[in-house]
Amino acid sequence: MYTILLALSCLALIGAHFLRLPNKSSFIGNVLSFSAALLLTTIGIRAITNASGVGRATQFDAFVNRAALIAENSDAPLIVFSGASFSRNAIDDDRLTYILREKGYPHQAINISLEAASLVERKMYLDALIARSSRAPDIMMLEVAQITDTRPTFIFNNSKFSSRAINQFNVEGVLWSTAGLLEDGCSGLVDCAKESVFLGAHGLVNVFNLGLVSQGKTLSHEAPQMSYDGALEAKETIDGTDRQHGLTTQNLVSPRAAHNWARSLRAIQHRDILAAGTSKVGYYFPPVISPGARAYVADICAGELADYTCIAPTDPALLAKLDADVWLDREHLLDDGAAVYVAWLADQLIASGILDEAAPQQEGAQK
Amino acid sequence: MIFTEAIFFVFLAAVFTAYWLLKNHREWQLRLLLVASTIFYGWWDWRFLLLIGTVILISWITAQQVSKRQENAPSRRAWLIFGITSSLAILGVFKYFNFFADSSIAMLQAIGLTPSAGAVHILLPVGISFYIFQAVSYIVDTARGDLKAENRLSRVALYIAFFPQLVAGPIVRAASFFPQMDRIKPLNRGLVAAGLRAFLLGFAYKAGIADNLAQFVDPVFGSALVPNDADLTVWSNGALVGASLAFAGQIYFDFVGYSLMAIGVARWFGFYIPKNFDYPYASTNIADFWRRWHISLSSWLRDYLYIPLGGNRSGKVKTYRNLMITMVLGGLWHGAAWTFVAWGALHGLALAMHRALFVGKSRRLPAILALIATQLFVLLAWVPFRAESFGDTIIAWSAFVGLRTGGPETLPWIVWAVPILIILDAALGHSRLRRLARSSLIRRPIIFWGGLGVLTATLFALYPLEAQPFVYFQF
Repeated sequence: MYTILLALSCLALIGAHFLRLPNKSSFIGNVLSFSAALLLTTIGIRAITNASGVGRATQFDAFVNRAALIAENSDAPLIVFSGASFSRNAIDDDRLTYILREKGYPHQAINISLEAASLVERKMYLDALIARSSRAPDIMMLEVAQITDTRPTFIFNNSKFSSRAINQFNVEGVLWSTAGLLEDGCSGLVDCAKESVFLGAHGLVNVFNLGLVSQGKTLSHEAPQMSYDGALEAKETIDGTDRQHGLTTQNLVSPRAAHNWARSLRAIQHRDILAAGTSKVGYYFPPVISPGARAYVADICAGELADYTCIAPTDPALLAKLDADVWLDREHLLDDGAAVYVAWLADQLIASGILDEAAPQQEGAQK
Repeated sequence: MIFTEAIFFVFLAAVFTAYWLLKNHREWQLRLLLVASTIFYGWWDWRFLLLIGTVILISWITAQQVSKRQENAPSRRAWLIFGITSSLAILGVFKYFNFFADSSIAMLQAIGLTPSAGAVHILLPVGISFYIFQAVSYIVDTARGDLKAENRLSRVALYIAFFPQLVAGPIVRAASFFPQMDRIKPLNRGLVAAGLRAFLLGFAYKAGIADNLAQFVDPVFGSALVPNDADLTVWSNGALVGASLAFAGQIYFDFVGYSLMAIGVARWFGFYIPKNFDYPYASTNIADFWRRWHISLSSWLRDYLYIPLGGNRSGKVKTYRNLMITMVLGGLWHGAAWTFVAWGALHGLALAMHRALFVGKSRRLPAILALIATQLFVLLAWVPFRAESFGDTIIAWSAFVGLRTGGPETLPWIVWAVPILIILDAALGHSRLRRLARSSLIRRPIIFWGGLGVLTATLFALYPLEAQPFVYFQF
């Protein structure tokens, strides 16, 4: 990392000392020379940082490094959960591992979820996990949520021009997110214009490596950290009647698929994960009070993801147990709520059979 | 608004375009620059404008009144004293009130008294030391007859508030600036090229190097950005020496970077500002160092303090005294803290010793030894300049000679590479290499534009996304 910093500093010194405006030159030739040199140097710098494992560090790297460390030190089959804040507050991986082992399954659960993580960002970090880990996870459970299926630039609500926001909008991320924005990913002209400008600006910052070396770190050196964030106190007061109404309302399941961009991205990710050596991929969504958000996942499970293990939190028994002071807010569970959910999730995983089969899952063949 | 921030580039582009659209209307061009300077300075805090406005008014009125009166008239002297003392009083109140109040309280506490400390804490206006010195030089130059008092308030205002060098110098002399306001320069390739060269080099120094060195200095010596930083004992001896080395690099690249960017921006508006640095880390004695470091300040101190004190005209002892007074006050100018006074005193002492041992004598140290001794002294003297207290200074100095048991925390190896950057910079500034830069090969379009592309991509990668203020803004 520091070698790159020193080398680039020397290069900057030399370049800045030696530039002298030429006397005569052609405009097109100048533009071509400048653009080609800019592009080649940019690509070169990115290639060098990538090869050295240097990048903009985020909390995800700490989660991924923990997962990689567990993978290295454990022979147990790994089941990795990847999602946004819903999962970060709900999937207590140590507790889930304990429950599974009590029920005779040797699996090691690992949660690598982070708030406001978009589909694009999660895909990026699952790829990083596979690259940094000595073995691919045996099972990957991917969160499906209405908000991340419909708002590709949701991160801007959380932060702008942060390492996370810049990281996820590489060329691939910009393309996926643009497709998402074009497909109802924003509402109204002003919102769409704002999101598009931010997306473009983040894309440029990413593509041109802005601050990549000055702020870069060796990603594999980030201290491992647990993702599960078991909150003990509610952030907002939830009216009991309101909560009961939300949890008992059940919408009829009408099978459907997500927007094209989200469906395509998921399909490609599914394929890539299997190609990387993971045996099975499943889907899930932690419980929320809003019946609409639960129903969305139930519909996707019945439609787009009907061929796979897909666990929607629509079980009335689960929701009845959660009709208590176990909510951080309307979308996130407290530690007590996570305990209820994880116990239920363990049963669902076992019942789905996803933990049983050793043979690699064939595309669209297993449930 | 910092020169390396995106908002500054938007501001600069707007002012540049408007300025050159008004190319046939000189007075409007100057008014535009004054408005732009007002916006630039008010961007920090609009209240600062009241202060700089007061300083401008004092300078303008004083110069007018002084120039109207006969040379020996008592009222002329009274106006002069009023102008200088009121300007310096503003500096004293806004920069040194907290320092003297805190020092007085500490002194009273030391003798067992318990004074009730008032809660008055005065905000330090950015760049105040620089524009007060410019104002004083204008008043004194007018009184000396070196310069005609300017009737137009707007011109005095533009001289004091000219945005490229307003907040961190170089300290421009009125005699050099005022004639340029009447000189109409056309926008041509030479002007753009000269500005671009200075600005790019400055940007590379500041954003490419200085800001990246800050990340090794701040955690050790402390920074408002780094909490729990005050305890130097956790750092190993190597880390303390390394951080001192990194600071020597940081302050150099930071301040030269700012000065070059200021020079570059001023060039784009047709103004010439003389260079402020001349590779000071290549100097082989301390007097040489001060001829190369912050040239506009050292020459200001020489012309408006050292020489009026008597300079070297009244015997050895008084010369040493004058050197000490000049450098101690120069140290205090840098910051309202005893550590800055100590830094100035160390340099004053070194200048006096150099004078006593070498000036007018035939003895000389071998060049390499002189270079190492000078730079080692400069490095050691940076420690109190950067440390937050004398206690920290002693700890860091002890680390240099291994007089303390080091702590467990270390710094990455790159801090030891700072001399490479400094040597490379000095080598690139060497006249032979500078001649090479003027060669026809280097000036080929493909080399320039391709090189600019490489440099741009490199600076993008080195650019600090969270822009760091210039070190000298606090002075």
